[in-house]
Amino acid sequence: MSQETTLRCQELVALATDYLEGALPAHQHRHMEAHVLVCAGCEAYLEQMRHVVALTGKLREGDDTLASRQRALSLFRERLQARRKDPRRNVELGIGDNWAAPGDHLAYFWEDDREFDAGMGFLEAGLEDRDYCFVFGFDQANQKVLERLRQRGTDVEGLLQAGRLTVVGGNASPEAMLSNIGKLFQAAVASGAPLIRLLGNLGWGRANWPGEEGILAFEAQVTEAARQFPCVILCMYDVASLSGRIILKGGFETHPATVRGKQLQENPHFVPTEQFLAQLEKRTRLGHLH
Amino acid sequence: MGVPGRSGPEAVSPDASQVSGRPVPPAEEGQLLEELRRGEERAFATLLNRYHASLIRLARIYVRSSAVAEEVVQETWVGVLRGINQFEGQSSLKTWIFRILINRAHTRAERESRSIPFSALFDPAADPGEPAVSPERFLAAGHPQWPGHWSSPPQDWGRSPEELLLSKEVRGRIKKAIEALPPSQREVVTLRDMEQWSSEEVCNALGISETNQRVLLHRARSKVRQALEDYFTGLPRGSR
Repeated sequence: MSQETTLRCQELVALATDYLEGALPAHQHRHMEAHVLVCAGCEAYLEQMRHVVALTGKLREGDDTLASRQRALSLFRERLQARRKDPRRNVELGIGDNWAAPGDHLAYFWEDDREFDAGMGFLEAGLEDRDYCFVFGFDQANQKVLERLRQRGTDVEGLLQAGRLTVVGGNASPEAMLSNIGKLFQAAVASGAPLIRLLGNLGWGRANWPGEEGILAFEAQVTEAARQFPCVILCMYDVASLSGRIILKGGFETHPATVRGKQLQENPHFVPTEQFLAQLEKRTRLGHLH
Repeated sequence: MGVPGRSGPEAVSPDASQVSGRPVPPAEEGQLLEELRRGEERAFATLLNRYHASLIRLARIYVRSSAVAEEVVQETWVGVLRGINQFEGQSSLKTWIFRILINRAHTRAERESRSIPFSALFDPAADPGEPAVSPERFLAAGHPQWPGHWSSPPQDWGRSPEELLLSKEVRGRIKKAIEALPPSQREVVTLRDMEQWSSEEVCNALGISETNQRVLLHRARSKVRQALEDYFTGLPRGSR
């Protein structure tokens, strides 16, 4: 080793990886080479670093992931089978292992934060694919949905900006809400949405929303409207705080199918839209007579 | 398309997990993508054989248990199957898959330990880094003749990596040293040296610059080297 070598061992050690990676400027690389030729310590050091790289590369040998890979393969097969069983049900719900059909209007009953969170899977399944998603509801609920999505790892801001995720508020008129959603859905289809998902948190008893009868009428008409679009609509029903009447008439009578826990089921309590609206009107008239 | 339940040439194979370092030619990748979109099992099994083991090893960096790592990887595959239609080929299929994993693993790790913001662990500034080799091993800057040169130079380990690896103890030491690294260093050394990715692939998957990648790699390799040196120096002379 000679004093003329401007490179000190301590400096060589700091540059070792840059050297091994071939990332040093040519003159510095040559300095390193020259230094190593005359310095046994640095030669041994570099050899050890090369050993470390080679040894690390051998570590993965012997890892057995066969069972784990087979589980992933079964998961793949289950997805295929589920879709083959009923080809119309080709929309992954994102809650449990359920598949929905375009045009579905579903009620999702939740009673705590964990169940609310599980409902986010409905949007996530679509956002991970190419679907266009709408978060429709009262402000507080919409903010909570976005927050939960963010925490669960969705790039909310990016999707909002890309128009893949849209937040929609309420309106005092059920007709205005319905036509607004219709327009938004039309625009989404026009911009190439293969499927639309709408997650609803309706503003029962909230300012700037229709009254209870108005929202019920709106819900009944959504069932019909949903059938006109390649869409799946999931309405969140907070069973811990909504009234029994809202759960019964809103949740059960206006949704052809319901989701509870991880189960999607046909709903025997569903009342066809015309009939539901007629009953609603009759009751309102009787109410006036009292 | 594979018939569910049948085990044929497209089934997962026990020994195919070692090939993730091999770059996939674009034409082959295009065909694989087509087959995946058609729901062909063979294509999915190919992905599993190429990447599953690597995904599990990478997931282990972020989450506490191998059970959770496995869950994160299974979730990643669901994400891949869901997203395959919107994958536009701006990155390689491999990079895209690993980014899904990293995103999910980060989210999972954050949920697991709400108290420590995970991002803090990934901040390079949070790890100022130590010198690759202790300054005490070098002569002081004021040394009249040889400032900055070895005072206690490393010794030849005397055996090839293949020989060294026959020792269970050596394997264990390296694994432990890697597990003890800060996550940002562990990510880089896992992908570069264990999975044998190119530096470009690593930078793409992790979203870091080449320079940053080399700094992290250097710190990681240095710590592994030090751990091995400590082990060898601690051994009685005859067994070295």
